[in-house]
Amino acid sequence: MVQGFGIFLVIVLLWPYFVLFSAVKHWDFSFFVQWAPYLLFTFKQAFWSSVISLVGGIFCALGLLSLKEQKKISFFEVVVFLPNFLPILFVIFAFLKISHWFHFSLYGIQGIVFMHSILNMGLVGVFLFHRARVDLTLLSYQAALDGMPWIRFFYHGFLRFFLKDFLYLFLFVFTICWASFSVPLILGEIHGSTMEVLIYQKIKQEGDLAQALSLSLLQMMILWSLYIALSFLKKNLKSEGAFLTPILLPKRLFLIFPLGIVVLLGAAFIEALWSGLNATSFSKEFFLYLLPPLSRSLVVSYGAGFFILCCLLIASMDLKGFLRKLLLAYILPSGALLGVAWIFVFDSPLLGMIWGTGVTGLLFLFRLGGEGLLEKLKDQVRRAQILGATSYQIWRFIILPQVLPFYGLLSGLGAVWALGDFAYSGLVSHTGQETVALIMESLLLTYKWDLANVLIAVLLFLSVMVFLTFRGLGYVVARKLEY
Amino acid sequence: MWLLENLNIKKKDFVLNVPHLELSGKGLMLLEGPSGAGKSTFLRVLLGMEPCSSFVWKVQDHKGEMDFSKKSFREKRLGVVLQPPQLFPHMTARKNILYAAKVRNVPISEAQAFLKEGVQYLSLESCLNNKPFALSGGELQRVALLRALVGRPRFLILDEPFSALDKEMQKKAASFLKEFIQKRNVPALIVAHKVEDWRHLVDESIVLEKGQLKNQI
Repeated sequence: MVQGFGIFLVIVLLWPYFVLFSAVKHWDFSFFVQWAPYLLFTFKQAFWSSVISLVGGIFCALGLLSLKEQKKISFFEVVVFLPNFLPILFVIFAFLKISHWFHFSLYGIQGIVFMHSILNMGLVGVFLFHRARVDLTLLSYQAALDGMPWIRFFYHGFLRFFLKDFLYLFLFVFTICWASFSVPLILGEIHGSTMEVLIYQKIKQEGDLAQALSLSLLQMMILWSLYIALSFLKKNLKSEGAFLTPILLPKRLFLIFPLGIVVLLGAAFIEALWSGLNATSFSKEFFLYLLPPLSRSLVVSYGAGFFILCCLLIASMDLKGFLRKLLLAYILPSGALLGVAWIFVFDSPLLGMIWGTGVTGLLFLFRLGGEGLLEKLKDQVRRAQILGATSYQIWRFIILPQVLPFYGLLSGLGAVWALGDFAYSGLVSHTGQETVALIMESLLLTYKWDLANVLIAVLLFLSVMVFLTFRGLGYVVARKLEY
Repeated sequence: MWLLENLNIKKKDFVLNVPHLELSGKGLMLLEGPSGAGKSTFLRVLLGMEPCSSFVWKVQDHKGEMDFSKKSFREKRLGVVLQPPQLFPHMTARKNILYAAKVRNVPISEAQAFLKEGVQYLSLESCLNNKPFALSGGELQRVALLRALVGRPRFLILDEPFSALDKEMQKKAASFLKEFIQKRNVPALIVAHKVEDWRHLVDESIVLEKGQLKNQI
């Protein structure tokens, strides 16, 4: 049975490759010179996004390290991570509003870099916080007893100590930003955007699949080499030690920045809701207009969430780790091309959206924490094997109750992202088949803010509902399954 | 009788080399030696946790001869306490013990009866419904011991099973173990650092030093 599920997952992942590579009759690299500016732009935005995310993440980590009580730590971890949790469309929308207040432009490279940094800073901060909390605690006490000043410890005990981690995180964020689709699609300019957007344009506007595929092949090779470098670096990151609050390093002051971002997001949301409520008439027609996109959004979101949950559970069944390695090594040919692979075979926009947002979410979420959890359980699996447990007994009684709460959370996140997706969904949907996010995108692009203000509230409400459903599901089922 | 052959492992500067070893395969066998002698590596190879392609572990009893090195964990049916004694963190102490019985298809009534007896003997009544994070080092070791014994093991392999217990509890646990071994005729191989505590209980003793077999008594 496990093998059957495994084969399903392999087919899900390899199918777009098969469809695309069999569909194209020839490769077209003759436009390579024309692609060069896009390549350079992609590199530039990914580079600066990674640098700023890393610096911001270091400050966030230092702020988090100043906290002693677990409740406060958990609260601020959510604060720091919040832009990652929220639907990307909401974050873009809120910052477009904020940019109006403060009269600066979010379009072009500065906007893309800014948005990528806001989105990834928390990820870097929380990762570094956990590493420093384990590795630096005793060292910092020793340094404090030796009378080492703050700044020297910051240089020797933090910057130099975590040099490899910084490099790893830089590459990790670089890879995310390189392949980012939604942010450059909405904030990039027509003639200055990323490879991913160029692939999208080649498909959607020019219908040139040969060029799109050639571009994606190039992109894939770049991403592959980045992932190889990442996996090599990851091997060198090991930590052991006690969980205490290190002294010397922390500065609570640094928490002002992530807290400020959350306050700004909240202010933008309240302002949007207020002006939206004043400008919109909530007639019966309005609700009837909203009902179909709303239900489509929910189907896509719940569908993607369940898809991700099932795939994560399938990966957890494989005790030998083949599926885990496949998910880690797998690179999407391109987010945009994923849509084309679907259109080639099926004519079902809703299923296409579920599949596409599910696959993209799955890959990111598995790397974010899904794989780490399975790695942590390796020892327990070995102990259960020594006891003589069968593969099913190990999965059912040891793995499943422990992974379900976290996998529920991850699939909840994936469902929230699917709810706010407009990039991939835009490729596979037909006219008249829009989701709330797709309507929002077109409203933002045409500067029709009034309705967008209301829809963003709807989107956020749905996000909370969907997230809590999966989170709750994970917890409840795990409790029921406890031996 | 146990016949161990070609136990050969090389790790950077350390070499564990036991080309041939015969053990009675009865009662309590003690594996002793100073820190870094290779005792834990020896056990890991025996358990199949450390790959050693040339290793052979033959067991001769009244049923004939069996090659244990080629058998899966499930077929070996061992009762094991490793150092540190890791329990499953999401299960209570009671469930940890009963899980071992369940995976070995031991009838629940038998497992419950053994649990009752063992818990009383080892003074674990108060912590039976606690999860491992709420247990002390000594309690963890006693629960791990009961988990190793409850599944009708063919052999016991125990790595420093009582190192975190106080003198009095060590005595109690050792006599409980000895009684189990004698009653059920289950041979046990025990790794211990402080051998004085065990000397009077053991039937056979082997000494490892710098990865070599030094002595066999």
